[in-house]
Amino acid sequence: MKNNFVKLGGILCIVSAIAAGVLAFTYEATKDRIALAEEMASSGPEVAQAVIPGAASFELYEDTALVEKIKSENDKFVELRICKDDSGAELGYGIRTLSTVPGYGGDIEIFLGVSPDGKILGMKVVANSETAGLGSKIKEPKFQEQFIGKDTATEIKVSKSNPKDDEILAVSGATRSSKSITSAINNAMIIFTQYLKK
Amino acid sequence: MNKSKIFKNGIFEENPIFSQQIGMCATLAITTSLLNGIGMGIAVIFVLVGSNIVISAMRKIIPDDVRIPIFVIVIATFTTIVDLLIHAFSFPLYQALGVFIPLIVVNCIIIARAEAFAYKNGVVDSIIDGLGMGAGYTLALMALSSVREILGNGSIFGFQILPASYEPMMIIVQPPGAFIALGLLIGLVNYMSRKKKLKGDAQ
Repeated sequence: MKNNFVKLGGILCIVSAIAAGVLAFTYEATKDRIALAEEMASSGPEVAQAVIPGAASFELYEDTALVEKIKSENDKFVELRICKDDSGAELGYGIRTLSTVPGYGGDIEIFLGVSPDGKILGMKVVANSETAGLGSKIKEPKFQEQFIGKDTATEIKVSKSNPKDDEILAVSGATRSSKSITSAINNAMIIFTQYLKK
Repeated sequence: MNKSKIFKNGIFEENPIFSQQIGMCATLAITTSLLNGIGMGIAVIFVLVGSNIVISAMRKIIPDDVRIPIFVIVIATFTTIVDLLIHAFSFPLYQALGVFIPLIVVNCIIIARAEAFAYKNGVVDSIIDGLGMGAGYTLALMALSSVREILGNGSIFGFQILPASYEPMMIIVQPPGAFIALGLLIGLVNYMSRKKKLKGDAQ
């Protein structure tokens, strides 16, 4: 009986060790590509173009003391990037933040592009778990275009029909997702007004 | 059993979704678009064929008493590999399928084939069985996800095919719609296979 116990345990041990070896190898082989894919998805050229059209560079903001300050005072804030065009002129800021009102599948994470004079230039949803085909329509240009050009000084509200100047039209059937992404945009606008507006 | 029969078995008589009705959780959750369905199907084929090969090759040295833990280790290993590969090479798909890739590990189709087929048959037959079952699963996912994408979103592969005047049936892309669409599809498949059988009996 005892012998059998050791034998079975030994076999399981060997199988597990081989499996661990195979996995360690696969992990090593894919590690760099995964890091690259994550990087591209969250701040690659495609994201930069969506956030601020015409952006040639999309670098982390150099004033780290300010970034730390925003982080400690605004717990939904993720990171701050600055966009420049080919000649090095400042096009605006990319503010990455979570929503303050959860959507249907938790917080939505976005990058909002704001020009130095406080107008929304563009945006990109970096992470969301909204219902596919329904709440996920917040990623479509038709919905996002409504925000472009809005001023960061006025809070944006969500409307279900006939939006006024400071309102946007919710995705039909997905008011909660629309409210959530709008809360993230409002949070980014607050960050801009409080810390970045000159 | 002859090889083409093993392959067809997974697609028709014992189709994992339409006939055995196993692995339903991921099926209902991810079939909101055709691309998701195909991606999930390929991931499952990979894990299924991989674990069938390893288990059938080791079937003579795996002791009966600990076969289930060993099956689980083998399946979990292949699932983790496919998770890492999709993460590295197809990031949008990784985001769309989310937690359902790691959950392949608990998909009953895979452990069922390990126990019912790979543990009792040779490597070549097990590969064919894995491919057949995987193809059956993938085809069923494709059928369900195209129905849901067309009716619920008016598009296929993300391209709009129905006119803008078509109001998408929102419920179809939501969880209740998954049950409704799947139920109707199973009904249709059963109706067709019974009709075929009756015709065969009459002759």
